Amino acid sequence: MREGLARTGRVLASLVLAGLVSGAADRPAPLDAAHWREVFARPDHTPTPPDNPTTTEKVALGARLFDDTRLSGDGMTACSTCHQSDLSFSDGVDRHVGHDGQPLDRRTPALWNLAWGLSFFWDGRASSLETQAMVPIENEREMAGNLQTALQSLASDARMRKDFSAAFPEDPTVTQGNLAKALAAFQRTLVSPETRFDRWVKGEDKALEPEELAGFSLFVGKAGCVACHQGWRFTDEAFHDIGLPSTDKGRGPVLGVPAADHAFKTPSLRERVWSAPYMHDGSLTTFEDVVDHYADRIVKRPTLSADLPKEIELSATERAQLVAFLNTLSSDDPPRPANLPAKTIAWGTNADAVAASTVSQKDRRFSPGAILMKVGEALRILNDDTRVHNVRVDGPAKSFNSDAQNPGDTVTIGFDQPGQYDVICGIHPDMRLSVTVSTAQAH
Amino acid sequence: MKRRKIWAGLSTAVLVAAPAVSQASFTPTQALPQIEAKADQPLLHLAQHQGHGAAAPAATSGGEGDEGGAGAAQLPPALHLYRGIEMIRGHLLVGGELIEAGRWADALPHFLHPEEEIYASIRDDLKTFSIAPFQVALKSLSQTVKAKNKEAYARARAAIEERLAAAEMAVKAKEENGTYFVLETALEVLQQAADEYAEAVEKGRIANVIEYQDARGFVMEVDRLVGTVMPAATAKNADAAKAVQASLADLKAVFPSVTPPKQAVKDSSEFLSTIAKFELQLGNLR
Repeated sequence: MREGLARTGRVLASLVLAGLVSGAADRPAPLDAAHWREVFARPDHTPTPPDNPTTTEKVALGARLFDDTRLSGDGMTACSTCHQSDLSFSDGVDRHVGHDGQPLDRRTPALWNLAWGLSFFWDGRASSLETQAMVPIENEREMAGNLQTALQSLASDARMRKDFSAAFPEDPTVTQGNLAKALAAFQRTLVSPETRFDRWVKGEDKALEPEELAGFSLFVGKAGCVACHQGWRFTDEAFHDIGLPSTDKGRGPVLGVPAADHAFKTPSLRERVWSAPYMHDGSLTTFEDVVDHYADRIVKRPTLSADLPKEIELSATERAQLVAFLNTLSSDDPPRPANLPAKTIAWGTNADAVAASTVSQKDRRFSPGAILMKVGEALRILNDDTRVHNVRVDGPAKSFNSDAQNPGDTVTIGFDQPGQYDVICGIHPDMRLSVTVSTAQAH
Repeated sequence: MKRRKIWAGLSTAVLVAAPAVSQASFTPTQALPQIEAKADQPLLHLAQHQGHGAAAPAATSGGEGDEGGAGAAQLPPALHLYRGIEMIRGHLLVGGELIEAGRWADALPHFLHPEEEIYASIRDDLKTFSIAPFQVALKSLSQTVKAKNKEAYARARAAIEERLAAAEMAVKAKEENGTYFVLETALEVLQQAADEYAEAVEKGRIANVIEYQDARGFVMEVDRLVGTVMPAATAKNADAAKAVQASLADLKAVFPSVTPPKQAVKDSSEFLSTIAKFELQLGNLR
């Protein structure tokens, strides 16, 4: 009898629980403000690489070079010609007209917060700001310059020689390397300032209007924007095909991986009020257009990002709330770079490395993130995630490209030389695995 | 019944029942509180227009010219909103003329004013009519002017024109008498033009160029706007429509170019007098 009552009680409790769960499923979950405040908290420093530490002199030189038309072939074009400070270091048009009189292939990207970037250009083909900075200078349709000619011109300028000497006291010469470092150092100072959203993140509840907060709830909830627009910069640094009608293949040809066709780097959402139009091709004019694209206009094709919500039904009110929220990520007045101290950060540290030969990729993370192996051992990387990955090793000692690694696939990499290897995903560059391979004896 | 009192000339008060009723039915005793004309000023003033210096609600307080409008805030929401849209267009019109002339720095104030001085006053109206906010588009546009970037300006200008057209369509959709609504709005914008012009003129000279240009933009925009309903207005009352056009032609002549003439073509009271002629005809076009 007692046992029967107990069983009945358990059944009733289960029914009540099921009812509660069912009821909760009908309503959006309440916003977990504490969690999201942690997720979107701004950093307190700007990362700078060990081989190009930030100095005042270097940044000043970089700022001058950024405006210097001598870097171009026609002597009339500078970096700032397209990356205008008044337009969030972009140019306000869908595609800038190139030297051939035709629109360039892609939208001029805004330059905010690139210090945190993992790859550069819309298709991520440059692995550092230093590498990136040289490319437009010699691109025939952009600046159409000649680096050697430009360097000679700069070196013939006494003031420029003096500025290079001040910026690079250990190598006081006008070289391509120093030119790249100075331009990169300047760009790393372009940190977007705090906005009303940041005040909310810091705990100021009233900083956001109810409609804006409702938009944020949608952003991290029903609309699923946060799947790609993550962290304080609102980008995962990954490459996604978001179903724009453009025929541009984007990341695919860079990786040699057709599964990454039409994929472009997730743009940051900071200061976007000041940098319309939007997307890699500048095809969307307003935030409203952007929201409508995700809700109604995605072009279906096999390469679509797995991180795109399958279906989003958004009412007019919800769309307006999302737009209201997006506005809070921009300054109310034209933004000026924030002053944030620089701190040297080296990627791929392996302080917590463990001996392992099998690595997981679940939830876009190599796990463990740093491993120790012996020469001759095989590393197995299992895609137990829901997304396509592309395992790569790009180094002097070893080069490896897995091609498209579909969910369920396992990639095997052998290491026959001791050393340090950085394994990344070409589609999600924030996935980084540090592999330390030692000789069997040393290990 | 809406009534306005117009002071014409040196102490001659002309009461006009307009635009809600025809002149024939005006009743002096029903006039709204009057604004007295000083004896030494040949002032003609539209009584409903409180002009500069009037205390504005915090939400609508603007900068120079109070274009958000303390007095205008008392207008019905549709009229208040359409007035705001047209004033924004007037600013953009004259700003665009300056850009065409390569005068980016001179143009900038005319692109900043809409967002800084008008938008806040119509924000609630936009909600009332379920019109998507367009403050961001105004900001983006003014930045392109600040950057002196013609291509970006053209794109941003097209974007804001699209937003304004959508707002206009929404606000006009519920008006039964669209022609009259347009004319009524035109009058409100002309009243603001009068305010700007009064600020611009000192002792027969144009002392304040920006206010002159503001007034020019408003008048030229009103001319364009009224042109859109002129066939319908002519069908209603050809003589009145013709008189409206004549008034506008007279007002446009005050602004021979975007750069002001050395001597003002009209003084501010003459300017107001011409607006009064425009207003007088509205009752006949209802």
